[in-house]
Amino acid sequence: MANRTDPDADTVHGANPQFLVDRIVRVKIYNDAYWKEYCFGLTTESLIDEAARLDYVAGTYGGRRRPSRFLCLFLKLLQIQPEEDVVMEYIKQPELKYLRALGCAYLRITARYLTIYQTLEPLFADYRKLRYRDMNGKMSIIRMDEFVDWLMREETICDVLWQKLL
Amino acid sequence: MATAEYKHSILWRGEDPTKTRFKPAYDGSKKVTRYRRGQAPEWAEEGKKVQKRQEKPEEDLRKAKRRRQAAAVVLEADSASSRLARLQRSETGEERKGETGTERLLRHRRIEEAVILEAEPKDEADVTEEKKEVLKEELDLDLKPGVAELSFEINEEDEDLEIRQLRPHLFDLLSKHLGPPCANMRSLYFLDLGREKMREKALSKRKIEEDVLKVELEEEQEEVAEESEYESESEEDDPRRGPLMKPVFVSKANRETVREKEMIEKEEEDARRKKEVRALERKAESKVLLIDKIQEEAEAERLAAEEDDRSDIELLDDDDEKNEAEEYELWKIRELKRIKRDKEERLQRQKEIEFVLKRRQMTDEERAKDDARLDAANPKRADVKQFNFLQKYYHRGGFFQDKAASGEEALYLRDYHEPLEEEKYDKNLLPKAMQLRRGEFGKKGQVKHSHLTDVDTTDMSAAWSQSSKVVQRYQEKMAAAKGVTNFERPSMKNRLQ
Repeated sequence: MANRTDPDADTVHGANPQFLVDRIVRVKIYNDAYWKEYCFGLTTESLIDEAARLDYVAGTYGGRRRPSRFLCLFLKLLQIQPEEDVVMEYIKQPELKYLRALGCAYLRITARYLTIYQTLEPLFADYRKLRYRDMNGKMSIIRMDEFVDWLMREETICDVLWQKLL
Repeated sequence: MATAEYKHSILWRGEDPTKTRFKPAYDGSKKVTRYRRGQAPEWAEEGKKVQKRQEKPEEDLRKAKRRRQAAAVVLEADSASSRLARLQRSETGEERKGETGTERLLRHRRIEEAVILEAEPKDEADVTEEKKEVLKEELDLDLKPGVAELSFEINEEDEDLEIRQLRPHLFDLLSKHLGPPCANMRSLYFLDLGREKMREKALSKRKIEEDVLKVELEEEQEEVAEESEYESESEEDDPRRGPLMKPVFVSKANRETVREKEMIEKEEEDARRKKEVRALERKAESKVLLIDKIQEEAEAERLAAEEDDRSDIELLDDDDEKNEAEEYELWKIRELKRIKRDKEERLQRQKEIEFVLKRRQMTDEERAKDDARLDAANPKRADVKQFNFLQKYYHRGGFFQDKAASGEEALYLRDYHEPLEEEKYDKNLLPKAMQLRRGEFGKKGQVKHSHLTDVDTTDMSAAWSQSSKVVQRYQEKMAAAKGVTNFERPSMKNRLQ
């Protein structure tokens, strides 16, 4: 019940926003302890607090494809579907870089192309370090502008399929 | 009527056995006597049905025969049956009216006593006496009146009185028949005497044996038994036995037993004390262990709660304050690279569009030339090699062909159709069975199919398949057949001709 999208929420790209994440990954997130414990009943405000505790950007990792907290919060955003200005706020704020990354990812997946280009391109200037955990679980450092670059170009980041931009 | 059922029809095959009822062959001459449970047999009512029996003498004979047979079975030599027979006879008491007491006695079963041989030589009388004693003790015979199997004890001279009192008639009988000189024989056959004396003697014998054992035990282990017991025992045995241990007084200080007891007590006390000490120590240890355990658990809990199992990896430093200049430089490089990349992409796109437009505007010749140029630029795969007879074709596979095209993978640059040594060899020299491709002969994949022309059944002798002059001329002349082999396009040049 908690995993259902709000019936008042809009469709994204013509589908249930939660379905933008693959079913397998989605189920893994639903069964995750972090999701069950912390992501339950999360609002846009409390999400900020959770995002502040993020350690790294990752999708699923490890042999059994454990979802990362970043991914859980990402799905939570898709579920609660905050308004655009809220997301903009997430991106604009300079303190929490992981929240910014989260906001970018959410924007990239839900917003229209024009918005994406207009919003994300200035972020190339941000060269702050982010911890990134790849599929094998190995940690590395990436920069924010790299991350944004990936969002713009790559097909799959963080185990989520992104639609190609025009 | 021509049906199969009709008896006299031609189709009659005989009676249907399932249809007929079975009638057993009945012989009325024989009478079978039926038996029901609880039914009294016929011979039980002999008295009543004497007439009937007389009427049927055969039956009577048969019954008698059966009875006799049954009786014959009973007369076996085992004890139970004889006993039963005896009992039966005693009940009825038919043949025993004129029997005397002795005869009756003689009828009784005699037990043949086992004779035990002893090591020490003794008088014959003693021997027999002792034997009797032993036997008496072992067998534990008590005079049980009334049982037919037990042997009767006849007393000897001195104990005659007893038996005479108890069983006077027996005594009379025996003395009358056997007489006093048969005392020994008697003793052989019958056990004698006063029970008390026998018992005493047996008891003494037992004591001797027990004492012997005890001495042996004492030799093996240290004696732990209290002296009082020993003394009491020695008191008991004193009047009976010959060689005895003279009791010597040992003062308390010298007594081994007391000393040993004291030592044992001391040891026990020490052990007890040690145990207490150890218990205390263990308590302390366990306390310490418990504390440690609790601490560990608390730590583990804390860790688990904190990390939530996600930080099994060291978090790299993502501090942005460090090396700002370096970071800036790196960023610059990245940014420039990105810009370059974007530019190139745009250029590429541009070129493509241009090329497409240009090519659309080209004429045929130009296109041909362009094609030639492009072909020259991107050479196709190496020319198709000419294969030898029955040379194996190796397919390079459908994957990684982009790598093959680009030349990245050296593996794909190899020429896999270079013939092997065995393939250069002319296979026509081989027997027909061996004219197969490489890796086929003798293996499971061997098939009879060798090459396609082998199974070509074209009739070469047909008029149309030959390329003789006649056929050629025909093909040229016939209107419809004219252009069969001509693949040229009709151009203006020819038409004008």
